[in-house]
Amino acid sequence: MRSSLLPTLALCLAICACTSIPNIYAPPVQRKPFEIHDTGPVRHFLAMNDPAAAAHLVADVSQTLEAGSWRWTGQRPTFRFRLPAGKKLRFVMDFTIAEMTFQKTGPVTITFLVNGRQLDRVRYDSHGEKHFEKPVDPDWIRGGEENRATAELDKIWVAPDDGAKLGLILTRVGFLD
Amino acid sequence: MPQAFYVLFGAAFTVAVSVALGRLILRHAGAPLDRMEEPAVAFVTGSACLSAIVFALAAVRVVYKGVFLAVGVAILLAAWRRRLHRRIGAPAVPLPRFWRVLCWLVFAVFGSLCFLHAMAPEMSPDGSAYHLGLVSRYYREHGFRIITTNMYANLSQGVELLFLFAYAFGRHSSAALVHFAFLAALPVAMMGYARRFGFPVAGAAGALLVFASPVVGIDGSSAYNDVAVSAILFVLYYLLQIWDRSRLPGLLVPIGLLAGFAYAAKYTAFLAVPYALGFVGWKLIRGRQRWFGPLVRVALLAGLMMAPWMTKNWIALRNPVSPFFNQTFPNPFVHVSFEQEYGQHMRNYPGLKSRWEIPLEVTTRGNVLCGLLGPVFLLSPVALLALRFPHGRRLLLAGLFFGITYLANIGTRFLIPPLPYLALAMALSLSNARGMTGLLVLVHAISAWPPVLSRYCDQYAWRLDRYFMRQALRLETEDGFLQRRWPPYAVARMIEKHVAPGGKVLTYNQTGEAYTSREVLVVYQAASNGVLGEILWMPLIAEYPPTRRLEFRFPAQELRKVRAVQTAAGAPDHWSIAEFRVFDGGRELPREAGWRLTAQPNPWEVQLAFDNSPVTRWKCWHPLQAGMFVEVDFGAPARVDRVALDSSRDQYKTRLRLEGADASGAWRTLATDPVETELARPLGLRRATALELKFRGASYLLVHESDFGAEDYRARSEEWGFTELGESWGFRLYRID
Repeated sequence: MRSSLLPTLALCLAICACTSIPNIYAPPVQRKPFEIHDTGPVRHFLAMNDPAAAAHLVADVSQTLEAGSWRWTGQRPTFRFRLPAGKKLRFVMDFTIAEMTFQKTGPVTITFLVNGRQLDRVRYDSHGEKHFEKPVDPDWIRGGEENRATAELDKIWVAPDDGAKLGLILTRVGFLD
Repeated sequence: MPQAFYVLFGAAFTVAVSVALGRLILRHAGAPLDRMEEPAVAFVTGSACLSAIVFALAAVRVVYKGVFLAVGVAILLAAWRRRLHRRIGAPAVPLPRFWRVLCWLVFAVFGSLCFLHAMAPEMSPDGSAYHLGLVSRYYREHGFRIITTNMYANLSQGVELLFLFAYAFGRHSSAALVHFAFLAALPVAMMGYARRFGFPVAGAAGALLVFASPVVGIDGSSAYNDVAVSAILFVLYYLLQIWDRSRLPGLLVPIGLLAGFAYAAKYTAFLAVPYALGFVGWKLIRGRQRWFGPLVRVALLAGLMMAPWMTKNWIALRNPVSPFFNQTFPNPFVHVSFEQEYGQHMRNYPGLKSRWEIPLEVTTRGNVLCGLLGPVFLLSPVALLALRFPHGRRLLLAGLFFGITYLANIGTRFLIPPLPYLALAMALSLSNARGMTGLLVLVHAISAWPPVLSRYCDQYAWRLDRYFMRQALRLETEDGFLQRRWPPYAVARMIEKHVAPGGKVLTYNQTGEAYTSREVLVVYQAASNGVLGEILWMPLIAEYPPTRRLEFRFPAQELRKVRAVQTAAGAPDHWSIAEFRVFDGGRELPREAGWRLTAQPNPWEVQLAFDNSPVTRWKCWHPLQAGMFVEVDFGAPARVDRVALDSSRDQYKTRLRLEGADASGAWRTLATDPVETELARPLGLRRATALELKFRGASYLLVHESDFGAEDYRARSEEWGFTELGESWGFRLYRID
């Protein structure tokens, strides 16, 4: 009896010593939004299919979302963003110059403005997908307030039948760090 | 010089205690060994017992120099009282004169090279990283603690515990010298075996082929364990042959112990157990003798040596064979995907263009597969000629059997365990061709001599390249030598200098952990480290941040649970969720304390999908399988009409559906086609990452200039919140503020 008791006891102790690792957990400590507290609908960056896109569109951008991911712009699309102060940010814009419009307009020059200041002026000699990205002087940024960004096209295509004015196919625009 | 004395004492004391224990077992077993072979066989056999004793001491956490000294002295005194120091058995039959001279020459030249290297400050990659890194930690902490952040701590470490015994007295070099003792014992055992079974010249030739092999020399004089494993396996083989001839039942005791100790020394040597059982069983059944009792005895003794390691892992990690078989034994400590990738990596070393390169790489080049056996082993097919001898067949079968695991890791040193059988078979096959065996050994010895070796092997081949006399005798300080010669040491000292006690250093690369008391978290060495590595990369890899929202909409209803189910299979993508958000009428439900979260697989990291952090994510760490899920139980029915999964873009093949369960617990599909929208990449990811790392215990970061992101950490350290503390050999150490 005693001889069988010891191994049994040892086995029980070994099993009790096993680390108990649960498979079910309570929610952890919630991290706070890091950069801007209570951002509201206006943020620092906008994808065109964002449900809150309308809050960012100031002028010259179609209200219609095309193919679930992009919108037509006019000649001077303008957006509002809410940005943190004192950060080194880059203005970023992903867009496409449509082949159809490019055939009529030829090379397009776009002037990028942040809060009315010229960030850059770029000539695009071909159609297709484009990516613009450039650091913004932190002094130009109004921390915690509304900031405006504009892309000004030197020419756009005007539809001969209904007079629709088409600039760029815009996918996303905003500020990143 | 006093340091050199301690180095020698630590190793000599460990070897002496092992020999004493081995003699105790072998003489009790009545092993008929002659005077030449007994010390080697006794050392290897006794090392199994000493390792088990050290395991017990480490388990109860009484690892102190004084305890080791008392235990060792007690064993030596017990052996003395039993007169075990007296040599018994017949004197060995001498070899022919030519072979005696050749043996002395090769053993003296290569032996001194290896001995001095072992005695010099330890500077092997794995030895100074984890073999002795863990040993030094056990010594500091007086035994085992549960270590979940270093998979190497999960491996069996039977030889490392011998290192620990020696380390207590002479630190790192003592440990390497213990390995050198195995290197010395192996050829002696080979020669003893061959002489006993009637082919002494072939035995001497085989022993010299192994001893002078470059990879055997560097491995056996470093704090590794491959040569020790090879010696353990060979002594096991040797004792089995003696048992086969004598059928002494007492021999089954050391046979069982050594079979189990092989597993305890290295997982890949587990084959010793089926080999020993198969050999004994086959011989007994074929001889129409009682087989059950002897087999049970061998199995129990082998189990005795294996069980401590399996039990340790089971208690600490829920996987007795961690870090492997994690699908069979799911656990939070090693990701399944890591195991798969690691296995793939070990089977296909980077730089190896084709399997056809292996023969030349392992014999002559030595860079990609880390070491070379020597070019004469290109002639290894001649070993097949040994099939005409009974012992040739036995040797080749044993070599083939113990070499099977090479397929799992094609590094050259993984050929060391089967090498003695191959070398003996090669020598045996040439034994009838007069002069050929001697010529083979001479060519091998000359080609393995460092200045000659350097002429043909790759410049980066892992090998001994010089005598370290001054360093071995500590005429040059250990610190001075290692600072100029061994970058991991310098980095470890930088860590020791700048990192506060208890501080943890996150890094992508293993470093000289044996030379620092601070904990180093290497990204690939544990699941929790892997999560930290993912967090660290979050701001740097465009596809990692949660910029994709998958939204399931459905009629509002009362639900007790919801779960996202992944339905695709067979793709290597890893499903992940950064945030699992539940809504009712446009309002996100706050995550109540009563919620219960789980996932399958990897439930242990499910909280990462519910922490509101943009830099963490739950990830399955597993190739896609249909039926994977992440589930939330609200604790009580809650009104829900929408679930949004914020996730990364690096998972193209995943397909999801949403299921819900009402109060009855019955699951049903709520939605199958989520609407995808793009989310803004969050600002401040770098700082958020640093804070998250610190929250998770990593307060320092060590980065090599060639590491991914190194330039970003340096140039944008302010944004991250990193303060550079020091730089050494291209490594920068940052404090995470």
